[in-house]
Amino acid sequence: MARYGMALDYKNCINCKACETACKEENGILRGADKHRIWVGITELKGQYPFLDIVSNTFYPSQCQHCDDAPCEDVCPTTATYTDENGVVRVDSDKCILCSYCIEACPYDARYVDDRTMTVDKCNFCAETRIARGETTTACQNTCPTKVRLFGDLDDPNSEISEVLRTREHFSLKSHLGTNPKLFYLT
Amino acid sequence: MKLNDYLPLKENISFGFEKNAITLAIAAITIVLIAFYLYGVSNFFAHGHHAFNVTREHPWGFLVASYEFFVALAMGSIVTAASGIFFEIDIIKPLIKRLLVIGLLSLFAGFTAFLFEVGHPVTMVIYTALSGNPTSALFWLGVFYPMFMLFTVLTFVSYSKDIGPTKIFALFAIIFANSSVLTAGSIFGNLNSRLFSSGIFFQIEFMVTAILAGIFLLTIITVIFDKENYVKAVLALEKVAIALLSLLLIMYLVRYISGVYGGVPESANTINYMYTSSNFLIYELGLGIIFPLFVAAFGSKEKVGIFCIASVAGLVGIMYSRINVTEGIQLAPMQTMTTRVYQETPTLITTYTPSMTELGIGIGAIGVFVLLVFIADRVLELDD
Repeated sequence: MARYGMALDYKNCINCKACETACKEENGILRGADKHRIWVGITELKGQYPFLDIVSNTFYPSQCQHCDDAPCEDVCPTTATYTDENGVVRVDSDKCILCSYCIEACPYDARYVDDRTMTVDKCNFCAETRIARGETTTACQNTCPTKVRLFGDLDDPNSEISEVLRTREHFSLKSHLGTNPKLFYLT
Repeated sequence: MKLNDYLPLKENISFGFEKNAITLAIAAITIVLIAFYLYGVSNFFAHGHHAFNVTREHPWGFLVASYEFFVALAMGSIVTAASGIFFEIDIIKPLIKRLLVIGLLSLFAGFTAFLFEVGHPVTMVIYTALSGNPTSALFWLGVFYPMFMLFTVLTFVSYSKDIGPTKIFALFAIIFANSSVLTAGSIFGNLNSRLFSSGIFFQIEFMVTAILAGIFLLTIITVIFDKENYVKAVLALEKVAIALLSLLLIMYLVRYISGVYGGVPESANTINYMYTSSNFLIYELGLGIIFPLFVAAFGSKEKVGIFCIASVAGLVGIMYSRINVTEGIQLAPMQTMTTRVYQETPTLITTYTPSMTELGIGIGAIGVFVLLVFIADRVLELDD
């Protein structure tokens, strides 16, 4: 069994949104600004014109962090949210009661309501599509023109992601909450 | 086996009532509220959750607040009544049966709101039983509430018909009532991602306001139903209310100081926004705490008329306290590293206004509750 994670070389992101489009296409996500499994956040430019700090305008591609200690999983009353054998945090839509407690508990705003099933949906590293077909990349990684995303097995010391995490400095979002995310932002 | 063997049914059931200005006004308001409830429910069945104004950033809305309000009423009523049985408090004895029934009906009214908040209530019952998650506060709520209801019913039957170990049932009713309210508070308190509610504040606040809600409701019933034999108990409970309201004031003050000066921007923003809103200042603080505290402390020590008005204000305040906690935990958006996603306006505060459907179900449930209390009053013999 693997323990999948993702490294994001976020400074390479050009905000083309190809990853969001690929995700929606691959996983059949509904259109609409609030229906997204992954997104690119933008920080505002700092300073006043004409003295703008161009470097401060950064793009942060993000999604479910697939936490090792996922708060969404802890609060789900019916165990609809679970961690599968590959360390991917997933939602069993048959068990989801749409109490929205997981949406409240998620510190990363990674969950939303799928209007077709009226259950909570989120990124599952393409577990039901590409990974299920035996492919080794996610749709967002596969399409990224600047190679921001790197998906792989964190437990495999020879995997590319393990190599990158060994050699480059990185940080996780809201690590103080003790969620142990498996998304790593490379600096 | 007859129903009369277990329930104190009245011999002559009549749904007529004495018509005066107050009762007619209550009847008219109840009809309007029930019509509002039916409007909300029909809208829900036509449009589902899309009839609600909840969003990705603000997934819990008015119905959660409404449910928490009814839970407070239920806990306050039942704990007061069951304490009267278990601790053998004579002055509470005349109102035990009525309080137990009102508590149960309050729980039922709460469920009429909550069932529409949860997307799949049938699935909830099935999978909470089949694959419940012990780390979830919501799961434990699903465990404690049935036990709470069961022991309240057993206490009522046992006390009314003098069968079975009444005091044991009452003790378990008290235990599960407290467990339920503490768990309801933990739903908010256990969210470590939401700095506004994370911690023990809301568990304690829920328990204190629940007991206050019971006292307020009892005072209103005493005046409306003109129950002279309840007055002694209400006057005693008024003193308890003074202590609890004072405690709440201190808790609110401490929360403000630690929230604003605690050095956590997300928490400070939320507390500042909350404490300067009319929902908090006028309703939760003014109507819910200061006015009832002032009346209880400086009002008449022999009559309950003015405290009844303060009690109505107090219940409005408690309702707003539930709205404020539901809104408060969602005020700070979670994507803190980003200020814009999909070109949406940068914001430090998430806003939410309940839809008419949510208001219809949430406020209309009060009409359902009053109707149920009226029916129970006509069908059951609730006075000793």
